[in-house]
Amino acid sequence: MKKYLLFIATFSCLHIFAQVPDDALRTAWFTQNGSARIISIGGVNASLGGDITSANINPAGLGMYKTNEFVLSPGITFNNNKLNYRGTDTTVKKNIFQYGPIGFVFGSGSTNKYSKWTSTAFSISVNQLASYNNHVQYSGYNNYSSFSEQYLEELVRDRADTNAALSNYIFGSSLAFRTYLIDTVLIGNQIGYKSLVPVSTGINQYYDAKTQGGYHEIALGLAGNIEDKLYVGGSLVIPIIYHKKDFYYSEKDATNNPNNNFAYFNYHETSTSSGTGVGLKLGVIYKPQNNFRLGFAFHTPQLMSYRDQIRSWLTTNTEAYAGLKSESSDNLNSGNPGDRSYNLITPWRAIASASFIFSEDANIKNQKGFISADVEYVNYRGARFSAKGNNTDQSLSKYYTYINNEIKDYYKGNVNIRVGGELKFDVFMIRLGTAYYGSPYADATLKANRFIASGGIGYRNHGMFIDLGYSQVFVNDVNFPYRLNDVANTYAVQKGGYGNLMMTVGFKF
Amino acid sequence: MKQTLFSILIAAGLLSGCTSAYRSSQTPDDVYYSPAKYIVAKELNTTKDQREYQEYISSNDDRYLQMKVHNYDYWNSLDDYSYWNDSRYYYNNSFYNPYYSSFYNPYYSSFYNPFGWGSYYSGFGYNPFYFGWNPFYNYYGGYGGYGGGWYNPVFVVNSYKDPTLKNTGTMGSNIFAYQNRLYNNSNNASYNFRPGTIAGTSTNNFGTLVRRVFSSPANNSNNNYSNSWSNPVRMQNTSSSSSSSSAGGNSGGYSSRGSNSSGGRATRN
Repeated sequence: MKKYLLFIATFSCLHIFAQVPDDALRTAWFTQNGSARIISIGGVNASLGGDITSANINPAGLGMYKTNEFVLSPGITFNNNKLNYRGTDTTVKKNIFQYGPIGFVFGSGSTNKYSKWTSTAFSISVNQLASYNNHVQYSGYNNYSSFSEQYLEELVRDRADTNAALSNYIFGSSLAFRTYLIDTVLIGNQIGYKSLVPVSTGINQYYDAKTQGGYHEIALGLAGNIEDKLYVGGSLVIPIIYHKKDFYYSEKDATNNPNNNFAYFNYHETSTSSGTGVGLKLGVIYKPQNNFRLGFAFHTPQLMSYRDQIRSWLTTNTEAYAGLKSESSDNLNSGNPGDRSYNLITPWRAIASASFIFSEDANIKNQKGFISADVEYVNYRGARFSAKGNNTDQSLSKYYTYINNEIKDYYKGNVNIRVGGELKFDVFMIRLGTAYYGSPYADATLKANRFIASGGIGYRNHGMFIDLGYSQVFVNDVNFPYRLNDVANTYAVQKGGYGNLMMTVGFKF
Repeated sequence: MKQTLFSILIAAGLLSGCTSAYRSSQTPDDVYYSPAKYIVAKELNTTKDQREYQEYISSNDDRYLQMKVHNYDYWNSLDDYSYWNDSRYYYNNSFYNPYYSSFYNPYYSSFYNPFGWGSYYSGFGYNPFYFGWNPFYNYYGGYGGYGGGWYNPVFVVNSYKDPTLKNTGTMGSNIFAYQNRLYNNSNNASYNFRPGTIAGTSTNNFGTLVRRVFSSPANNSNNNYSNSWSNPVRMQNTSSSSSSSSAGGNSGGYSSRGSNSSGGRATRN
């Protein structure tokens, strides 16, 4: 015991891992958000242009502007998650406020007689590319594996002795060891760790994760128009990410046997992740002939700097074995949260697009509509974590190498397709669109995709416009409550989806 | 949320006052066509023929000056302001004003105008201030104050140092678990058999380091309480190196501050 106390008294700074490849996917796999017009047509805009959302998709589209406008886009997201976990269905709903692009576009004709630029445009806007406000919940019976086994694997894989088990994993394994959710075991001449969870007779598992925040992007766009034939543009984007997670997980003895040394455990974790960075979005739109547009855009990897914080609590009831025990990271860390700072390079993406406009006439009475399609490739496996600043902790660097290698192995690049169109009747417009987002997972067993059906209406007159758009996103995804190395993993199948209701109000000036 | 919506509505109300330029005319839709707002020396939003016509007009001016140099007396009369404003010639008739005719003024006539549309403008040259040609006076109206001159955005690309690996703190079992692509998403009626095996199979990312077993065989149903359960266990292979107190510690990810104040693990009841 003295040895333990001496060791504990001497350590003042230690590090615990919790970062996983999933963290990288948050900045890459999301459906295209934009103005109500863009929402209505499935998110397509890479060759269409003429919308403030161009700053986030293909900045060359800003070059269509020779006028000025201000845009506001408030919206609501209706989350409706349906999960099946080992045969048990759970449905949970959550409605939250969101927004699309808010900002200005300033377009003007060239004042230089000899300039090759017919017009130029500048924009400044903020757009919520992805909303993290959600509630995922599921439960189910399991007689195959336990959440607690990840702690066994961690300690045994690290060859952690009891000192390390007590103190070096204060946001996970140490809490489990201190509350006797896991304990040491000696079988023959072999030592190891065991879980007190009686997996073989079954346990009831419960997963509940409430998340908040979003992926916001400030875009400074600049575009030029050469003789109304060729448009080139670029956006300097500043991504601002905030993600907060309130996570509960519990396992309960399904047999209610009061003598099997396990009644339940409850794990609670709160974490926040804040990041900001910089990136470029570049694009070009070419009109080979009137009414026909071709577009191409490239989004560079965004260089982001993050700071995360975490707190965790664990309560375990092992009945006669050790009784009811609780422990928290706050108690083991002088009331402080765990901190980590790191850099993330997000995946690049490229978009090719084509549009056909039914009359690019100056008289709006002759403007009848358009149809447009985008094909986007996202290199999900290109995300990279790295240590921040002058951190020379080699083991930390090695951990990031593990993650980066796993990202390359676990994810793949894939294609997203967006198609949409508009019919215009003088000052009124109706729109329809659809989109399909392919799976980012390399493992074909994990069925994941997103399908969008969208529509909307618009009115444009008296120097302003009002658009209303709705998109229903049908989600197929997987959600792992925990991951194990040497037994088969289990996951919840996620269906359902979410609806986006967006209104955009714009003013021409 | 109510505050946010209220703020948006207030802003919308204030900004609606900015749209007076388009209130009495068509509101442009930039997706289809965006009208330019500025008049410039060179017409910006012209067709190829229109631009060529303008060049043609300019070249006429040049040729006129050349002719004036060669025969000043003859051509100089055309520069007489009173001449052009002489009421005798207000008929705009080629008979009374021979300089309007194709014969005397070939450069302004449709006959010599290969572009064929300039004669639309009152039969004499080109009026740059005519509706539809001059964006100052076009039907959209409006005259903003944006003349370009943006600063080029500047940004700094951070560079990252390649990590140097010297020692290990954790083996990242939570990361390597992503390599396990075997899945079990169903429960058997009674016992979901998971045999205790020696590590090293294809499902094990630990290689030969770890042996996993159940602590005791499970061979009966959920309702049989006494000594029927088994617990997951991970064992360390004794052939590997010994355990370490520094495992997991000082190894990255989340860092903690301060020192532990709770001592060791609570004793079992």
